[in-house]
Amino acid sequence: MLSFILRRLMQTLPVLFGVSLLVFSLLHLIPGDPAVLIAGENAPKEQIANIHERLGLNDPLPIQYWNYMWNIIQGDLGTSFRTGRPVIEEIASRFPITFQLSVYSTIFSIFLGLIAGVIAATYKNSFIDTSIMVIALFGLSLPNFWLGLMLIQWFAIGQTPWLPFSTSWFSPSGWGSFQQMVLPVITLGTAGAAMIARMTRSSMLDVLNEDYIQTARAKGLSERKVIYRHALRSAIIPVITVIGIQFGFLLGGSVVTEQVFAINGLGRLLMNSITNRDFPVVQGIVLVISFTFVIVHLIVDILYHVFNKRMKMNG
Amino acid sequence: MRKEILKVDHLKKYFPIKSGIWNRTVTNIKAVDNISFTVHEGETVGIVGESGCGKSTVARTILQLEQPTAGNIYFEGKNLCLLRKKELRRKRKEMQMIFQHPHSSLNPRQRLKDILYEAMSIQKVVPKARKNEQVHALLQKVGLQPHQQERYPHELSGGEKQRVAIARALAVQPKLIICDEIVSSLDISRQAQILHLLKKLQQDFNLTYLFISHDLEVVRYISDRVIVMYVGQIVEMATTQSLFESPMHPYTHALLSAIPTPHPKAKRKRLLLKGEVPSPVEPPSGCRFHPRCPFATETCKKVAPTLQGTKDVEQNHLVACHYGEDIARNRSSFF
Amino acid sequence: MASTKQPLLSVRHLSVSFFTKNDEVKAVDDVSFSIPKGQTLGIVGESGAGKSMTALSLLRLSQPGEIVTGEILFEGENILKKKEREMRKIRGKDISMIFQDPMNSLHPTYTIGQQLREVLYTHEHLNKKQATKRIMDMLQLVGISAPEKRMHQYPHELSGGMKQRAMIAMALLCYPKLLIADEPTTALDVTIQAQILTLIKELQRKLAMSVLIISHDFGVIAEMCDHVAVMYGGNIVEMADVHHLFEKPKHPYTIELLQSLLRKDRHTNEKKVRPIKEPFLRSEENGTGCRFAPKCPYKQEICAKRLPPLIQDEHNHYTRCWIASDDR
Repeated sequence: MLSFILRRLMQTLPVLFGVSLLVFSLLHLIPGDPAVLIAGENAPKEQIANIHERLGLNDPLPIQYWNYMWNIIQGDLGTSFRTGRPVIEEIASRFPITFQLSVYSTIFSIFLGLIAGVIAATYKNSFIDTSIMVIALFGLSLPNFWLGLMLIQWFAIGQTPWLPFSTSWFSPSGWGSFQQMVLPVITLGTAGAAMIARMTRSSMLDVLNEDYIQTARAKGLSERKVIYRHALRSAIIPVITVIGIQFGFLLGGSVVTEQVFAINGLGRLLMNSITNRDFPVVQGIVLVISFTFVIVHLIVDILYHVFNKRMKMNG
Repeated sequence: MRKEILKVDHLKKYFPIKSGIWNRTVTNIKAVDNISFTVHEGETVGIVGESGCGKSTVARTILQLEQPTAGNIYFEGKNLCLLRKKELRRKRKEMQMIFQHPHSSLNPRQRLKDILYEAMSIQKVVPKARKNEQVHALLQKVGLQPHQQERYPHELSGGEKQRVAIARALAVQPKLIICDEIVSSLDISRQAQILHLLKKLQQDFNLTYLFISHDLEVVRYISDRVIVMYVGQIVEMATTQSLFESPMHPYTHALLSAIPTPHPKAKRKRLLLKGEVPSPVEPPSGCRFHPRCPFATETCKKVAPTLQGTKDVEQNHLVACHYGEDIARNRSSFF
Repeated sequence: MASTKQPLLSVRHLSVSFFTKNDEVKAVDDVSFSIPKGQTLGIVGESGAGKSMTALSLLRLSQPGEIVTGEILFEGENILKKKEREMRKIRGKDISMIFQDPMNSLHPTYTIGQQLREVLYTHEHLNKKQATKRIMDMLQLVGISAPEKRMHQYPHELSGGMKQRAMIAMALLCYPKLLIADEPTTALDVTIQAQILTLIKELQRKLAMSVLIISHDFGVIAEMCDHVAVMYGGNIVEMADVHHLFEKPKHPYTIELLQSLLRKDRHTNEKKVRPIKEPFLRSEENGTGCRFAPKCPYKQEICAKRLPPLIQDEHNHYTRCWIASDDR
């Protein structure tokens, strides 16, 4: 077990290295002089030279990369062009919000997805099953921004044309209170819930055909116990992977949702930094999101390994 | 004596078990551990043994689907382990293998005729113009109707699928066919038919079979000679009649007496083995059968017996047991 | 079957069908048999004969197959009339079942102890200590050494034979009156098969159970059973005392099956194996005649038209054949 974790940890090192290389190249891959990009086309020569000097752009690339990496290891991601504050601080102030949003959305996805998937599998090929799967397909294909805007329209502003009473239950923007959190979490978590529901359903259907489910029934267990205690326990294993991918994806994928609900998270910071050509911040955010993604995958892999070990050895 | 077609010489196949951070080999599964035997042209040699005894690994290693860890395999005098890829491929068409589950060895998206065409074209044995004719002939040979050539595998029953697998093997005109548990997943009446078919084909095409099965009755029905394997080694090898009528190794005794006789009045004196087949990772010291053997002595724990002939029983009856002859001589008092 | 007392289980005119949108496939068709207390009935037949469906119906677990008609009297009560909740009290307590493949019939992520304990918690009010004691005793009874250690192991840590022993222990925990064994040794090696068969026999004697064994192997049937029912295409085609059946088989299908065993005479080397055509039940063959008629070498005109009844002779030997009744 420990050796698996260690081996898996070592496998992530080249990935992290690759990510850092890519993020580093970001600035250099864009055609033209980075300094010109930063300062604008009409900037005076001295300013350009100044930027060159400040960013160390005159050094050979390997040296630049070395310096860049060395700074990262020391926790220095550079300074924001716009605010002049260290990038790490900018990110640190926004990260918790995005992280919360992702965690809550994932919990929402798991809760809704598992229940829907199990119900669909239990009533295979019935009307309930078909309805759940059709709704899931919708959930999967609805664009985030549209769903967000609709939710705001209906449940925050309260303009539901078919209801006689006002439905402005939730707050349309910001983050912090329960009323602010509900709509963004639903917006961000719907696609995940749909994906988890579909995965759970197919996984459950596989497991329900296993011999040990028949054994459980022959023991005299109630159908509810057969499904929740015996079937779901095995069926959830492949779902864990989907949940992990989903969570990693949410961390980086909340850009649109944060924009729609005016939440000051990482995604919004990223958008603003891109429009303002604040490259150190962009680089920093991409780096942080990538690293988190890699680490989440690592944790998922380890979890999967723990759960799956017995299953695999049994086969 | 007929021509020797296959010779397996001190064959070993170990599968490494890797572990730790650096994935180092910590130990080996000794799937096949130093076995030798020969197969003559036109004969059927059966290999029996319980699951995990290494019988399927022997087959896969002969076909070079697995690289042997040590030892040599000679096919018609040529050492297969030394052949280059191209030569090996040419030789391989003379050796075919049929597997236990025909539904997973036949491509579900190919019609029967395409399955057979493909086999013929890969090995380039039949000119294009005669292909169709050849498919019909093959189907008829294995007892299928020519019109079934348009069918897909899933439209056939288990027995019919196995017939297709046999036809595909025949398509390249092989000399040796290795059958790995090919009737195990079939019903009793189908088993008989397939075995019957194999016998007929053997006469028609002068085929040699290496027939692997866990089912002693099946092996007895089809084989001329039988090899009994236990935890990666041969414990007994003899002609079918000699082996089944005067088995010498206690393990062979146990195997034979374990088969339930399909008659309620048959009085069985059963040699019921205790315990389970040991793991091929750490086989027992000395004779590998000693922990389960009712006759084991101190010698058996320490010294591994060699596979050797015996004096007073039929020649070519080889057994790897220190007391094989004693046990055979006093059989009536034991069993 | 000759028993003056009421049999433990008696099945009358049981039919189980699979329904598709516009078709009905009869998996079990008008099957009747009974099992006296303490005795063993074997059901033998090839795949698709309806053996397993019959067995599962006894626990009402035949879904998606639906029980269409019939009665299943267990200790005189028709279990088909019982509510699902009452039925659950019978499963695993009065009637237990073990399955073909011990590799897959235990839950891979629960320990042996957890899985066995679940049975006791479902059916009996035992505290943890009592339950553990019962489990340890039972594991010992089925020949599992070091039961304390085994209880904490997962199925994958046991060999195939050990798993089947654990399955048997689980089935016997509540001392059932009837044990159904569906191909209990098919997935095991011969030497392990011999161990398991001996064990089942021994336990049957010790616990005074009735046993229903499903098998395709005449060897297993001959060794284990008092009575045998031969199934073909969902019907019982022949049923008799085990000695009678093997000595004087009457139905052409039984005769063919026994002949097709590879028990060729060792000395007269070539014995013709007479091929039987496909035994699989196809819906178009669900006609009115004898199921075996299309493949029967003795087929007569009436065979294709009307299904023969199951006729009893003076030795309680039942045969479903138009021609077999006149002694051949």
